[in-house]
Amino acid sequence: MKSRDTDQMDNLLRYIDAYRGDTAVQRSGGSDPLPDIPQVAFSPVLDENVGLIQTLMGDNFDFILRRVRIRAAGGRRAAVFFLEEIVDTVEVSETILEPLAHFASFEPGEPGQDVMGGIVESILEAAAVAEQHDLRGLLEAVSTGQVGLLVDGVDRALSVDVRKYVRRQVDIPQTESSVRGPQDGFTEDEYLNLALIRQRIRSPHLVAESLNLGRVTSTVVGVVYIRGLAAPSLVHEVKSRLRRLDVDAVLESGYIEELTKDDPLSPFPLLLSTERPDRVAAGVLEGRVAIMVSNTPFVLVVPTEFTSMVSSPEDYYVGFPYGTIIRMVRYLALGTSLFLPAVYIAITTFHQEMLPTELILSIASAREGVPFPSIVELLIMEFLFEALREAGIRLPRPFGQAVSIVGALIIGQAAVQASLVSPLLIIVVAVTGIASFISPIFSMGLAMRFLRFPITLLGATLGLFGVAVGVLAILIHLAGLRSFGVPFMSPVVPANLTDWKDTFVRWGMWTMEKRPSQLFKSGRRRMARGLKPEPPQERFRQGGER
Amino acid sequence: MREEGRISSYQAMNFIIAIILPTAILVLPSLTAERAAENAWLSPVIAFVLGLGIAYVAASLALRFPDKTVIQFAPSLLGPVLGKIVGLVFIGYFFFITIVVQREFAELMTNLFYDRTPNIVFVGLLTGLAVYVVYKGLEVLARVNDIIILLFLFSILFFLVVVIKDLRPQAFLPFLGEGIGPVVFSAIPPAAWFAEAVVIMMLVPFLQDKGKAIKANIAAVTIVFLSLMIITVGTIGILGSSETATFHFASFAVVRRIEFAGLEFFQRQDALFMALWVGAMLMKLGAFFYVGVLALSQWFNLRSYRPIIVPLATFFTVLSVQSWDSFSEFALFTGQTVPLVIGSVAYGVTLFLFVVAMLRRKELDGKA
Repeated sequence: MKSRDTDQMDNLLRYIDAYRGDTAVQRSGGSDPLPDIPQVAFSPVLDENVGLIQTLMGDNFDFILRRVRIRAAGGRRAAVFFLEEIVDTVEVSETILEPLAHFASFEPGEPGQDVMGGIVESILEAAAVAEQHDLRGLLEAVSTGQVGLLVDGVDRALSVDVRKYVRRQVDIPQTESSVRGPQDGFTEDEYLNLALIRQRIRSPHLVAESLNLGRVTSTVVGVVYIRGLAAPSLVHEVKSRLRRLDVDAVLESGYIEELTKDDPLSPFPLLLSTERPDRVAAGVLEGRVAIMVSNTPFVLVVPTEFTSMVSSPEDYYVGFPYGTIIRMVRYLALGTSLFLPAVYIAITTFHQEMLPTELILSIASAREGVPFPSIVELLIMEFLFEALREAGIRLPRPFGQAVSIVGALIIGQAAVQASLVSPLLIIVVAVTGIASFISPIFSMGLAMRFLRFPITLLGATLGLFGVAVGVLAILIHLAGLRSFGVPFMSPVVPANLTDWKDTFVRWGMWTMEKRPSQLFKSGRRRMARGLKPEPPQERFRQGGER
Repeated sequence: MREEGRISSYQAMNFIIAIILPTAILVLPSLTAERAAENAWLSPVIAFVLGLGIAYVAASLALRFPDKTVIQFAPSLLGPVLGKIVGLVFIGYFFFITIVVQREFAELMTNLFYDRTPNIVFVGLLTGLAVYVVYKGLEVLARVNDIIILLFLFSILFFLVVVIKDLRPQAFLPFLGEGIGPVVFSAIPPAAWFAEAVVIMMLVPFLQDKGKAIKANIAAVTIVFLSLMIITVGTIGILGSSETATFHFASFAVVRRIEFAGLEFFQRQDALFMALWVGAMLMKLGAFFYVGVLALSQWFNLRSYRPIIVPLATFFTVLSVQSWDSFSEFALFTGQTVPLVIGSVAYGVTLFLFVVAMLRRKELDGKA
């Protein structure tokens, strides 16, 4: 048996001192914000090991340490310890404590096996057991919700996985609800989320790899794809971008989104974040890679395109004519939410000749008594609208009613009567606001919300030419974006005309014979030819001739 | 020279369309009507024949050196000194058009829409956008161009649909009243515009499917020809040839007059057409500016063209504003000088290169 060497012990003692504040934490050059627990081998003496663990973890109020005697090993002493609420306590007593105390002996026929092996093979009933060789590994395992087991006379430990994280039940997705289609949304539990996908894609080709990200948080990040459909180079790129992230914490998939974006300064989301398992399943089936982050219901799908940000899974569940119309409405609304205020200001201040005389007269009379130029009016109203929207999200529920009444009154009535703004402008702001809610992907809606303001200012200073300048700048920007290497505007540009049937329109299911061209060079066929349904030649009638 | 990306032949076609069309529809109706009067619609036809010829010549010449632009292959064709001089002539050609386009754009905006805004605002903003797109590179330029040209061609079809009922056939009579002479003479400006298709000599190295270069160039010239016919016939058929000749931007004058029966409230929608045309004009400016800076960087054997974008853009902005004192001076310049200058470079130098390549064919084949 290897004895613990004194260097390791010194390191550990220094670490404990630092941690208790007895001496200043040594920060070598300030590079490492968190001193690592030193690697220390276990001692064969149980009490020594337990003492160390008590020192390091005993201060936590959810820490439980239970000493037992292993009946099967002739009453040898052992210690079981864990953090209370992240393990399943019932499971701990049923699969660990009871067997240890009650099993009379190891199964026969295993001579020469040491106590540890016997415990693993014959006593513990939990599914996942791992052997730990040093203190650091054991402590890390215990902090993720495993149960530690130390046995007297053995210089190794066991960690038993009986974790039970606090989990929310599967619920309707909050940001992406639909009428037709599945009503389940992701939760904060990555295992549950993976299960939701596995239930949809019941194939051995579905692969879910995991990484631990975050130096402190050690967050589980899952990389899910279908082997054979996702390009190996893409999977490799995703994993290497994730591994590069050396950060303290990953608390939400937004951290990963911002740190892996191809163009971090772009207002457009280049990773699709969704709460819907069917959306992720559809993406994975097209050869994309899903990134699941523990503790958030928002799963990222990469690479993604502009057009998929404007489509919803429901487009494929209702018939294609409705899917197409809904999509067109969505594009119109997208345009409205971006351009309506700008165009309104541009036309009323620069190009009045475009409006019918009656309308321009009514606009002029409505603006009678309003002391500000239109742009000031508009900015006031937009600010009020955005503020109300934000307040509506943040404020404690009981106040919701009050704010909506005040908002409606202030925005609707009082502002007009006080001649602060004209009624027409309120219509413009309201329509813009409604249109901006239509985006099926929340972060896309945010981009539109943000870009509206510069375009409005351009429209107010240069008329329709200004709007055109804004549109062109956005277009150039969009055409230059890439999402994990795939052009963000594909398949619109670079054009693949056969793929256009699933962009601005959603054509018949039987025409979607091929997988997206931007992700597949070959092997694109995903359904048999000629699936367009047709009526049969014969008429079928029960109990009679044709 | 660093890799500048790859474009498809379809994108190259759109590129060539963008390089010719936006200013062609703007000034050619009045330039041709000035000389050929009611027979002005014939001059694009004559010019089209020449245009097809130069499009074919330029593309097939470029295909003899599939991995080089004209700046790079001219020295190997003509020897270092003469080759560099020819390269310089092309660079001058690209930049000359860049400056004219900048001013043309500003003049239209200030004349028709914003009469109290100084030229520099429009030149500056459009050039800023052009700098942005050129900085992003050829692939992005081609992608944006695909979208804009598609919309622009649709708008020309729409133009045809709405003006066709108002065309007056008598505006085209008498047929060849003064003989063929004025018509041939009036074909010079459109022929000079068509010859801008020689820019394909800068694009061939970046084509994915080089075999289709000739086809793409000819298709582009054909589409431009059809669009130009629509605009010329529409403009003269509505305004009459003498009135067309008095406008510098005759096609916009027509768009301004479009009315829809039953939709009386929907009038004077030319600002919408303007917004679309701004996009097309940006593409023309961006395309010429791109090939210009690319050519210059290749001429100097620079590793990247990006560092020279902003200085040149600033310089050209100043030049385009300062070179002509007034709109009438500029209008005269575009009517008389521009067609001759750009026509002679495009036809003269390209044909010269082509002839040399034919003469030295065996020698070159031996080398390759």
